[in-house]
Amino acid sequence: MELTQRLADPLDVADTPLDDRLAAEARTDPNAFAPLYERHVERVYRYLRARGANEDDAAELAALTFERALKHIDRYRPGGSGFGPWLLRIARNAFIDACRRQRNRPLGLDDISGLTAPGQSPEDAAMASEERRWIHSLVAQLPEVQRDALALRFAGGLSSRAIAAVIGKSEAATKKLLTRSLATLKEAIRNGA
Amino acid sequence: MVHDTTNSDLEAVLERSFSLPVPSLSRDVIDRRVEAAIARDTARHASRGRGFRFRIPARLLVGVAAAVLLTGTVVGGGTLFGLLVGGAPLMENVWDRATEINQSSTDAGYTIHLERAAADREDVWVIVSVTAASGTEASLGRMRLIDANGVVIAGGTCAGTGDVRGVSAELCGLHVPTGITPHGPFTLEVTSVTTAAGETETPGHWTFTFDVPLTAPLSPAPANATGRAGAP
Repeated sequence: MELTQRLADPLDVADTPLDDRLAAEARTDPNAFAPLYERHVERVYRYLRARGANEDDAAELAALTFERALKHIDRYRPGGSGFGPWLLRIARNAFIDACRRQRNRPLGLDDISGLTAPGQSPEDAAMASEERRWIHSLVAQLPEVQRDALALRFAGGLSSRAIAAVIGKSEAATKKLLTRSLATLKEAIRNGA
Repeated sequence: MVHDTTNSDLEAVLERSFSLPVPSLSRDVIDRRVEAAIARDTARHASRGRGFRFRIPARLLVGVAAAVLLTGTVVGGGTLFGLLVGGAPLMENVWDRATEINQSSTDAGYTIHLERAAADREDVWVIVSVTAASGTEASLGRMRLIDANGVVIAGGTCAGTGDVRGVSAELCGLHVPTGITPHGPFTLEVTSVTTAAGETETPGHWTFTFDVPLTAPLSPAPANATGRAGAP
């Protein structure tokens, strides 16, 4: 099995029919899970990092997420909110469980400012690094529920409707939550400017 | 930097800031774990119905062990991984050296069967299976162990699964606090099970009392790369 095989854009959240077909195949042929993994691994990892897991913990929790997803693939319901949101719900639960188990050593946001995207010039990388440090420090001050919503939206790439399915709120309430989160962030930016 | 910002500016900044690449070492760790999971599942599908006690072929167990060793090497040293999986022995190894307990407890629609248990100076290991009246699969959630001296060993974590009489069983380890030697009889208290890929946690009370002798260490020795080379 070749895990490096790439299919469509891994962040193409709209392509649920393909996900649904692969998930259906994976019930009887676990190798069909490999392209699903390829399509969603970055999204899951980014979400976990955005929630505050450090590099090692995010890798562990991402692996755990996909192990659980494969184990329970028969519980995925095609035609619902989609495979991506289903995965992120598993990742979210794994993160919450990990935080509970680590009460004495909360998962903390480590230094993410040094990470660079492939092909970035040193100058661009330095600016991106500074911006990332700045925005993460602001997001870290938001209430937990707002941080979660922003991570699902901007790291997980989910729509309001999909986020609603993940966090168990109505779509309208989720839109309000996102609006409130962005407003709080803007306010923090104004105060810090 | 955006200090007087519109929503779209801010959203663009957030998207850029959260678009972290997966570092290659992390990606390798995740790849190997998922690859091992797919291999295990493929083997399970292939052998379904043959009635093997452990349906994971030995060559795959070697692969899984290698993956665990590799990932432990990469992300070990006090990370969450170390607490969850790192250093855990393979279920097959524990099974062979564990004492048969064969106790069941039912609550909240779930029956937990304590198949076997083993203890060394650092960990108490239990092999359990969970079956639901509804037929859904479930795993152990929260648990704690109390030894004969009242020492509470909390926060058990489960790592590794195998099929026992057609039921998927889990190997769960409870790490003994430093400086303590565990003494039986032990009381295992499970206070929740998780279902639906960890999406639902069902509280309940499942209690088991058992006694097992201390064995030689069951966990593999820590990898050198964790920085403990030469340390006792």
